[in-house]
Amino acid sequence: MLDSDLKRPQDIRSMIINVFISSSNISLSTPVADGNTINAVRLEMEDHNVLNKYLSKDASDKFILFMDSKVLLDNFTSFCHLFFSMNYYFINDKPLLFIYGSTDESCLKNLNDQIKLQGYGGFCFFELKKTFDGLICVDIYEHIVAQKKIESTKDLSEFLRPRIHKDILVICSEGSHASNLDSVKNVMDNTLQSTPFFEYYDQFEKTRRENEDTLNELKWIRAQLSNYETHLKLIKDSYNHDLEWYRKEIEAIKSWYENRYGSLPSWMLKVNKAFNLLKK
Amino acid sequence: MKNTASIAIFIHIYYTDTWHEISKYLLNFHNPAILVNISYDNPKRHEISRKIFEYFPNAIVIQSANQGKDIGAKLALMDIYLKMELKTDYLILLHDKKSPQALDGDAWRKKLFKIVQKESIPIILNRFNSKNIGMVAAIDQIVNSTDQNNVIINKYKEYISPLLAAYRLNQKDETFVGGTMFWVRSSIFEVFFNEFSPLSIRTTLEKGNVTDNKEPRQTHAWERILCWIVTSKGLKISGV
Repeated sequence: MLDSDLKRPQDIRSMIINVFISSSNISLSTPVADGNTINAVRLEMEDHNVLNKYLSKDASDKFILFMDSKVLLDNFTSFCHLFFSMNYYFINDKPLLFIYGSTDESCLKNLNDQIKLQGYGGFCFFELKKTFDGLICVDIYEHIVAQKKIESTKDLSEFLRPRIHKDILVICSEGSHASNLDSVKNVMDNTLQSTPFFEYYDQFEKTRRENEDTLNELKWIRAQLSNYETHLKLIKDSYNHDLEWYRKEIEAIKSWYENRYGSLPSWMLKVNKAFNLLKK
Repeated sequence: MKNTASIAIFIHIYYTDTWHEISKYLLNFHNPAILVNISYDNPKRHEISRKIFEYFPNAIVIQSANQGKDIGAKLALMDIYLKMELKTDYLILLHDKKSPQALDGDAWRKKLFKIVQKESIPIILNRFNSKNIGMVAAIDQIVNSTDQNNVIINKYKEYISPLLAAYRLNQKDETFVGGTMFWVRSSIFEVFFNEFSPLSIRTTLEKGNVTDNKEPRQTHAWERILCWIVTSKGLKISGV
């Protein structure tokens, strides 16, 4: 079905994420695509420009680190702060990391262990050649398994069509991203326009995002609830501890009084009665 | 009050509704460096971040996973502070702990925030004129771990001992600031954390909202150690 009046909603652009591979010498004038933009920052050593850029008020762009896995592993604490940036790009609560160089299992496991030690669930790795050139499309909801080197607009269209409702990473190499992006946008437009039930895909995407937000809120509320439950238990423990202390004190006073005077005065019987009620 | 001392304020935001209250205290300072760490679990972290920049456009805002509670968050901020080569005279550590375990949680928090109240700032700066003062905190929060015959507090002595050796701290007394909200001379923390990476220390802390009512925890041990970094230099903690 083709609806000629179909308007492309503003936020549908968010389905495509454009990733620029850039050197560490980045600036705010980095070309920004019409839609969400992620800079993949290729670093070989610690770079204060990157830190300053992505911690500033004006840092509206998301970013990803693109590094030699071994260099990152050997100098993890020198780079780790970048994963604390509000602008670092996460997939399913894991920082997305583009790597080249050694990608053997132990290296990746060690990197995962390092980020886990900082409280995150691990990395979401994506292997890319250091000298990567051209255009690659990645389906992030298939855990980056589905990816395709794009050689032509036909390739791009074929990749996008079954995933039109999903978040896709379109990775563009440095130098050619401007033309690539134009091409991506054109193909995207055409693919959308020729996709049947496009409005349902759009609705699906919105619902999916709302669902994701709700789940996050729920997770947060559960954490808060657990927090309050723990504290409630602490209050109860402390209350019982104090109550026990008073119980022992009253018993001691009662015994002392009885031994000395033979019977308890009426006021002490009242205190004892009130205390027993409190215990219940 | 306009002061000339350069100050960096580290703030950990865990809750979704506390920034507004904290921001009011920040306005009591003249051009401080503001470093905020919002918990990654906080579903409103981006919204809070926008609000922070609205009032404090030069603030540095990060997020981190809930590891080591506010202590872990402040260590992450310390790492950023050092990496950005910020130089200040004093650091102020704050967080938005609601402390539901305290029946008077609100009054308790207000006591903690006494150190950033307008009338307290000149008093605190005046205290630092004395060379032997290294840290200033709300007087009610200064705890001496020998004060109470408490099993957990006593367990901490044994628990912390190897940590003091590892970090080459010569503990002079057992006073510390409960709640980790205080002013400290920046140079003391800069020297210590340049030697011992804050992020490496952060890896040793527990994940999630840990409590230490049953057994000592690394996170709560660092609540003490942060203060003993100061006192091991022969400096005192002063209360306001």
